[in-house]
Amino acid sequence: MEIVVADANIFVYFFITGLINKILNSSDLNIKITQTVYRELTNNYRITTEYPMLSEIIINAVHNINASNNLECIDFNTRELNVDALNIYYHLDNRGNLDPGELDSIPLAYDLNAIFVTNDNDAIVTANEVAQNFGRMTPLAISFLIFCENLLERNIIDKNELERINALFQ
Amino acid sequence: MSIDEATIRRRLKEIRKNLGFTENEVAKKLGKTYNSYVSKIENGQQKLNIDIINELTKIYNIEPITLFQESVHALSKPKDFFSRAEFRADSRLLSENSKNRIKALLPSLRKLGKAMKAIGQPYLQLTDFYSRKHINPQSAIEAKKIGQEAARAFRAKYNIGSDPIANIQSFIWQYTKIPVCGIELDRECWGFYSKDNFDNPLILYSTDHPFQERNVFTIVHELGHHFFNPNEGHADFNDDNQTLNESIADGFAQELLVPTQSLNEFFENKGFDVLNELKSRHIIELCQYFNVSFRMMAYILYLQRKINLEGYHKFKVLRKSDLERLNYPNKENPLQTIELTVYLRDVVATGLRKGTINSLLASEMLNMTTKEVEALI
Repeated sequence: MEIVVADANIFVYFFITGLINKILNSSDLNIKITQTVYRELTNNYRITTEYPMLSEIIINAVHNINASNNLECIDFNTRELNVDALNIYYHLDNRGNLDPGELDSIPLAYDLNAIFVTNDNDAIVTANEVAQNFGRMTPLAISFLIFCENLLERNIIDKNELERINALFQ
Repeated sequence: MSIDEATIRRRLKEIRKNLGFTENEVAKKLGKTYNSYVSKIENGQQKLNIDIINELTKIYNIEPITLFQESVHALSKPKDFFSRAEFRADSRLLSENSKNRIKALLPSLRKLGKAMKAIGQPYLQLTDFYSRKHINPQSAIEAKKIGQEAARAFRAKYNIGSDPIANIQSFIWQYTKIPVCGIELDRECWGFYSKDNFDNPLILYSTDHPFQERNVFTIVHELGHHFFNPNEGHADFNDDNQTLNESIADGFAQELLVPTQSLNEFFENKGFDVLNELKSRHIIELCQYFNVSFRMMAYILYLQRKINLEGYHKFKVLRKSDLERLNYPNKENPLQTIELTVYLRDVVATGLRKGTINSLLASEMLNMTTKEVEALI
């Protein structure tokens, strides 16, 4: 399953629930982030102050310091994109109300034919709307909690772990 | 709907040629040592990416979006922040610089909207305080009366009485939950009201035009647009033609800022023959009492028949230097620019206290550690 994670907080949730290593080492997942999200994970004040270990895990994972991991950081600005993805990027940029991480990740997910995962409903609605406009028949974006249910179905996490995640949002 | 890549490349070539640039000149501007770079982009041998498009469109001084023109309508929701806006002066548009400054605020506005939803706090609507069903004025006078009636209903609903409003931004935030931000707009643009794609309203006033004392009126005028034209945005320029929508917003602003009852009481207390004895210093006293501009005060006095047309024109043409001699405008109480993050912090703190926002979500929204967030409660 190829996913583009647009929201640094998703890694925070996995970190808090003790699942980060499990997720980053799952062979069923192929996780992409853009440099904007990578920078947030490794430079953002809140994340580096409160979860310094998470930043370290992400740096190690992206640079393949630990043997098996499935996290790839993509330089979005220099990546060759299909024209529809470019088109989506500039239209979303013109609208102006997405965060930089979402703005990069939606066209990237479209370009890769991957799933866009976020915890932001507005971004999900926007991503699915533009993907539909370009003829994509299946949803481009899913919410974090739906994604976690998917992880359960694929036996990447178990029921207790899903409950731990759900408890974060109570 | 889709545009093919060849079209984008062809457009880049046409734009370059129309601007009179050679391939070499553009390559040089891009800092490339080999001259065939631009030719490769235009002929499809060099793949397109965001950096290349951004660099070229910067050199050509065009917005990248113009390369994808045919699909603009298909992809843009008909009602996003700028397309909602109706610019009253037909040919006038906000400059790209102003647009970019506004665009920079929109992610925070969306975050604020999410926080508002999380605490279950809707933005105030006209129907929340004004019961009139059909609002269809046939004249500017009628439109103004409707605006004034709504302003009185607003004050009555919240038991505000007829006291002057000391701080307009706090007042609007307290009662309507609509953020008001000062921003450097084009010099001719007084203010701006619109909503983003997710229906979050925002009132902007210009911090850059020469009559800053007028901003209080502008802000309440834009609030009037929020109530009476909720699905449209408005950018108000200083040479606008007056429309009925503007008249309603004007009437609303006049009555909310300077309640007729309060004005009458002021004159009763003064106990003089207003028509004959009113001087500039009295108007300045009123300005300071109601916290509005001199010109607006003079206009309201004319509308309220406190002065006649001749008197209004006499006050209207007073020069800035004449007024400054009378200690106007009062510089002691300038409008404070409030960042959207301040509004956000207020809503998140409310959510934390109510228990509708947990500390994890709050820390995400405010980019603070959970300890810092807990200190907000």
